[in-house]
Amino acid sequence: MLPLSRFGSARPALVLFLALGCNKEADKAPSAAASAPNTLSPTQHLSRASIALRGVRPSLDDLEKVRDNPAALDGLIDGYVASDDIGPAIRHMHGEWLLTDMFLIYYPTGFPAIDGLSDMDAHAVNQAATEGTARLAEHIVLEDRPYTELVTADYVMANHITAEIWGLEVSGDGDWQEARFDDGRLHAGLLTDPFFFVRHPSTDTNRQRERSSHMARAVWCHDYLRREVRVPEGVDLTDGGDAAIVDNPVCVNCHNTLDPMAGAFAENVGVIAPQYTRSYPIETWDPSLADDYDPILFYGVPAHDVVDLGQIIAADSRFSRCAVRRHYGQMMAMDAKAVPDSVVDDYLTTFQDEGTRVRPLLAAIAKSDAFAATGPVERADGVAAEGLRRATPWHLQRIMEDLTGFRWETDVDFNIGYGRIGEVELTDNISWGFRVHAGGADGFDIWDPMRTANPTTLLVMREVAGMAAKQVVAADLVDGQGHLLTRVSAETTDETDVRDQLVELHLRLYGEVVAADSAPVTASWTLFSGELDRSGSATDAWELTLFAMLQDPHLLFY
Amino acid sequence: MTSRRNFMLGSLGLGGLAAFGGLPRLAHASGASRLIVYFAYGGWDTTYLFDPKPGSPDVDTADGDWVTHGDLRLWDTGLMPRTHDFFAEWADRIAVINGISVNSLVHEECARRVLTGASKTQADVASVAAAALGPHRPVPYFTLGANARSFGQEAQAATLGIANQLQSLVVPELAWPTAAERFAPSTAQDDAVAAYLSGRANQLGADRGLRGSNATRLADYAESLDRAEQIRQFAPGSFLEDWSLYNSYDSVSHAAAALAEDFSQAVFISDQGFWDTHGGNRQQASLFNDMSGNLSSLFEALTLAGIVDDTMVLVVSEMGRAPLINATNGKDHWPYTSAMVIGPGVRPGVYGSTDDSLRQQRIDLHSGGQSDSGHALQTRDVLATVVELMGLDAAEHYPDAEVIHAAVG
Repeated sequence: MLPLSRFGSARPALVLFLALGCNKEADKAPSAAASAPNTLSPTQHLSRASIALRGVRPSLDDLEKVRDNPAALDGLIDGYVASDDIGPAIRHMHGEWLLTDMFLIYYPTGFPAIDGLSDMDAHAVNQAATEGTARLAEHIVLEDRPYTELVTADYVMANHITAEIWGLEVSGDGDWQEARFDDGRLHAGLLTDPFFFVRHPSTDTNRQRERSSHMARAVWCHDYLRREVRVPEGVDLTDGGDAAIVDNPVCVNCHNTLDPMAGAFAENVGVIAPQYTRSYPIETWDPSLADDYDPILFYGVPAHDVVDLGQIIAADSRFSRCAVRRHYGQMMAMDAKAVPDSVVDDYLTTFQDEGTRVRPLLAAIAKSDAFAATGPVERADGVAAEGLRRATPWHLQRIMEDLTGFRWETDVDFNIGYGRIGEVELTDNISWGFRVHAGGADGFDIWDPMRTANPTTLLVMREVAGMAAKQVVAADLVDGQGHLLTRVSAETTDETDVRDQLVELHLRLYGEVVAADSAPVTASWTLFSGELDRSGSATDAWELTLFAMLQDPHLLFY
Repeated sequence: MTSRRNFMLGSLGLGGLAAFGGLPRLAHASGASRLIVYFAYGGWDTTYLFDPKPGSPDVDTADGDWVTHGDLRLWDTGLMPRTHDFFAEWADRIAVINGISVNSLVHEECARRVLTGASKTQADVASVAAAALGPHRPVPYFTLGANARSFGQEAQAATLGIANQLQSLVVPELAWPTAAERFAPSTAQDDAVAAYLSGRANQLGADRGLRGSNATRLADYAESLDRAEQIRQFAPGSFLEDWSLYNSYDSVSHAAAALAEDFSQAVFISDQGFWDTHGGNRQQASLFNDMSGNLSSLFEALTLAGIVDDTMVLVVSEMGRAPLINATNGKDHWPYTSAMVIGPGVRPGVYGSTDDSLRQQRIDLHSGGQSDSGHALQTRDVLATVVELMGLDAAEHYPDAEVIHAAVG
């Protein structure tokens, strides 16, 4: 039995929910319909696809097209996949996956606003410094290149900020573009990305193993750190483990593949603490460091250098399987490691036949029945999809800004020692805002976002909804900007007119096609009319109604 | 490092304690009902305090001498005065447990094992205790560190945040200024909105079905909605609106206030020190010294609040450090660690042991001493002992574990 509030009566949600007979021990057995899941309505399917692919809800126009003609659904999904609007989602996914999207104020970030960046805010400097890694993936996907370029690209992504930090040349307006080091180092995409190696350091005695391990997790989904290894009793580690990793079978089990790959990363400086930087560029590469490393092997296959290693990885099926697993997991809002092998098998052919381009893979996933399932889709080897997908703080921030124009920003007028912090968006910010409270990953201690609801997420949603509601009412009813309130004015109080507006809001906000006299619209109307009766003001009534509707569980779960 | 702001009685709002639910529910007449996990992430060198090996050629131990605090025989390097001040004051309720096998050398994996007893899906011990003993609190499990694990119990947990963001989230006066105008609903408006959201959650369940994770997630939503409201109602007059706390980054004071004001039943604190001393291992002394200062402040605050006799504290690091100094004067990872269990009902002493090479020795669980035919201590055994001391059924929560009976008074 769940606890009841000690503040007055129990909340209605709990009471009603329990009345439905729902509890955490609810039936988890596969249903007969597991192989043909119940699916969302076409408009809800479109909404889910838009959120997964772009991080925003569909436009009203797109929703109306599908409402009026469900056959338009696949074409609209194709349009989303084909557009550059998928870029931020690709970047977000890779930042989360590579653990490079993280707090921006101290180690392993803390890039100072100095030298050519001295007129910039520290937040903007660090945002750029950490984004370059994920920008590589975004660039590959948007350019429709083979995804294998992630480990073979003969460039890094840079803008005018990271060019200053790493010592690169960029052209034109200094926006994100391909750039190359001219100091003799090799380029192999992620395998030579400068920030990846700042984020994932290696001590002298670790000898690049941690980097090798993180690369394995990132690129071929082999997570050495999560292997269930039990250090045997009596194993001799007093020499730092040097003998054990050669002689002890338990140790050799990992180290015979982990260590030979580590040699590929040996030219990267071990530990870099950006906050101690006194001038740019930061030296991240030193070829002399590689002198005492053994030849590079990828699971026994020799590689001449890191470029060769990239080619070998790209040709290995583990790379493609991992790419499918990661993208599927992201689209389904589930942990990649939980994706059943049979699902990976299903999509691997599509991915490889399409030359490992990501767009066709995303389209195939987004159009599938499993993607549109209303409840868990179970297979013999695991759960292929959950029903309710939980929006991350990244989603919530983008959805709210797209719907209402509201962006929760503040100016952190504070110098942390290496520059003034400056403008920060709060919903999805780890350091100053509420990403962790709203269930997001922090790229350091929290690797995966929360998949369920928690109290602080609802507090964040409440805060954002309140400010957004006031802004929408002011913009739409006073200034006539028409974000959400497109069918009413500040004087509109007629029930029919208000219900028509509510019907449109339910479509726009939740992808719900509902009638003016339906229960959902009546619930919203009850809020509106109650406040109208109390205050006599349609403006006040809309503020309250939107305050509630922008916290709706249909926004948290899609 | 966190500030050393003393915990102020005035900020506790003790007058509100009775109104906010009165005395905590004790599961066991002599057991503590509140739990603090104090986690030293990075891996501590147990030879600096708990488990030195003077004279052993196989283990580099800092110069020092044995010192006795009550029933505890510990190592004194002369570099950690605050550590020994802490032990001098609290030794009568401290069990030191040595030779705990973590069975891994990787920080994240070791942390999981130390905090959960090795389960990949189970919540950590503080979350377990919070769920069992404090579901009636607004936030049964309050986390002040990112290593906490509330798997399956997310709706009962809340984090403070690295910049104390929870405070600004519920007390807008503390928040960073924003140009946006906030919406401030009346109580009646809040009730209307709560009814709307409840109805919509039920609608979602009815539309999508309540099978598997749908049911779990909607149950969590319902509980979270309730708890979010409780948090908001709790804030006025509580530590959450304490401006000096908001500016202090003082985990200890936040933790003590959360327990004293019955906001939470269990708290997780991360020590702010960088314990992973692959280089410069002598930093371990200052790390122990600073941590001990925090623990002294914590116990002072718990005493001041009148809850020290109802609070169990587990102090642990996810791994130890290797016996020998490496080429950069540091020590690498080691799969055996130590822990301190501090609180009422604890039989003070040093239990468990390692040999002269810092390898685990088996122990007799009833005497706590070395025994070749005894038990090889695992992380889950420590957690089972903690919940046993709190009056919970150790066998229920850690079915494969053994309680260290010697440490249970």
